[in-house]
Order: sequence, then C-alpha cells, then structure tokens
Amino acid sequence: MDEDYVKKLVVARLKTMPPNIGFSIGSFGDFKRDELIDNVMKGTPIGKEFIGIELKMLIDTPKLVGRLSGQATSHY
Amino acid sequence: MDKRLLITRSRHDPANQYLYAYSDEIIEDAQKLGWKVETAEDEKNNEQEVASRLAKNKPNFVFFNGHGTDQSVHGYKDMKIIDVQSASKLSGSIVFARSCSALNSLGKEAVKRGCPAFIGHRGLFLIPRVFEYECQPGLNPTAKPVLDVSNIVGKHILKGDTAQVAVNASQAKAGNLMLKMLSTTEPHNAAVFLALYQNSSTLGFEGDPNARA
Repeated sequence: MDEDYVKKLVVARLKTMPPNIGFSIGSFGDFKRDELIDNVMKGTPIGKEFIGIELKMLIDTPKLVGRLSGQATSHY
Repeated sequence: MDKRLLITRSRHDPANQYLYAYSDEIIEDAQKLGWKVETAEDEKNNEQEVASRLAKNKPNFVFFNGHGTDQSVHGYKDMKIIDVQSASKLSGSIVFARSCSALNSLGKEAVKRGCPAFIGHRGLFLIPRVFEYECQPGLNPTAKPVLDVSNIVGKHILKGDTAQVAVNASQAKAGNLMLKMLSTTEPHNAAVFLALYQNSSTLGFEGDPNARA
C-alpha cells in the first residue's frame, strides 16, 4: 500500500474520535488525538507504531464481525 | 495456608495513575477471597523491595502494573523492577504483567526458570482517556471498559481459574464489547474499540495453560 495513502487512512480514522481524547501508549507517553495525527503524518516512531496497530485492526475486524454469523473463527 | 498476592503499582505518571486506580478492585477481590495481599507501591515499587518480597513471601500470584519492554517490567519512576536476568525470582508464582511487551522475552525466560505461567502482552498496552475525566480514573468512559477487561485476567486467577481460562475470559469480554460497539454511534467508542483490540490481541501467556495460583 502507498505510504501516503496509509497515513491519510489512519489520520481519517483518528479524526473520527473527538479531540478531547488521548491515549497512554506505554513508555512512549501520553498523546492527545491531534498529537497522534501529527506523529502519524511526520512518520515518527510512535506514528509508525500507531499505523501498525490501526492496519492490524482493520485487517482483523472482519473476523470479529464474522462471529455474528458464525462464519469465521476468531481468537476473541 | 492463605494464598499470597503481590501487586506492584505507582502514581508517577497518568498511565500509572490509571493502573493504580483500577488495581483497587483486584485488591478488594483478593481480600474478599481470603488472600493475603502485599503491595509494593510508589517509592516502594522498586527492584530491591520487590525482590525481597518475592524471596520472603513466595507469592502464589504476582500482578505487575507499570511500563514494560520485551525484557523488563518497571516500577516507580519507570525504574526496572524485574527483567530477564532476574526472572528466576518469579519461580513458583503465576504472573500477570499489565504492561507493554513483557511477554515476549521476560515471560519466556521466567517460565524457563520455574514460573508456572506468565500472562502478559506481546505489544503496546493502550489506555484511552477523555481529558475531562482525567482526575477520575474510575469514571473515565474510555479507560473504564479497557481496564475492566484487563482486570478480568486477575479476577479469574484469584478465583482459582487456570491461566488459559483467565486469558480466554478477558479476550471474550473484549470481543463482545467490540461487537456491541460496531453498532453504536458514540464517538468515544472508536478509541475504546482500538484499545480493546490492541490489548486483547496482544494478550497471551507462556507456560502451562492449566497453571493455577
């Protein structure tokens, strides 16, 4: 996947969250939504970690939804 | 003989304050179930103190709260309290490390050196927070479901369930909450969903699936 597209995708998903939300991300520290967006756009280590988490979640979500119809297995 | 719980926690940064607050429920449950509870808190959540309590009290269950890496779990002011070199100190105790990544190397090494089961995470541990509730961890609508799901691991171990059952129960609860969230329009849920996904998909254990405290 094109790197710029992936960044835009992750930023778009972060923007679905209200700006009054932040995350504690282990020893990386605490980040407000807009700080995370900034880190994703700049390709910092935490930005890259966050992109990885979002992509993994997007790939796995159909398996979770599959549980509704019993058509997919899941570790959840 | 009473079973013994050792729980470590600190309040030196927001993430640790949340882990601290949500550990109260684990301590209450343990006391109700007749466990003898030892805490290593704040300044006492350091390597020397934790090593001393592990050696002296031989806890059946150790519940670490704090930052972590593949190789270590940290205590007060993010000082290392246990790592792969000192993993033998966990011999004989079931462990839950509520931290980032410690399952990767520390968990494996602890099991090699006699820990019956080491439960933890293989990646980053996320806590989503709404700023308006920053000082009220127990009421924070995004942190609460995420840390309640994490507490399920500890609650099951305290009740005498196996490591496998404890992990499965936490992951099942996360999955059910995530399914419910797919059909809601509550904007905070996007953050909760992401954290539940990340934390439950990285949750696992090393060691004997049938190990009990």
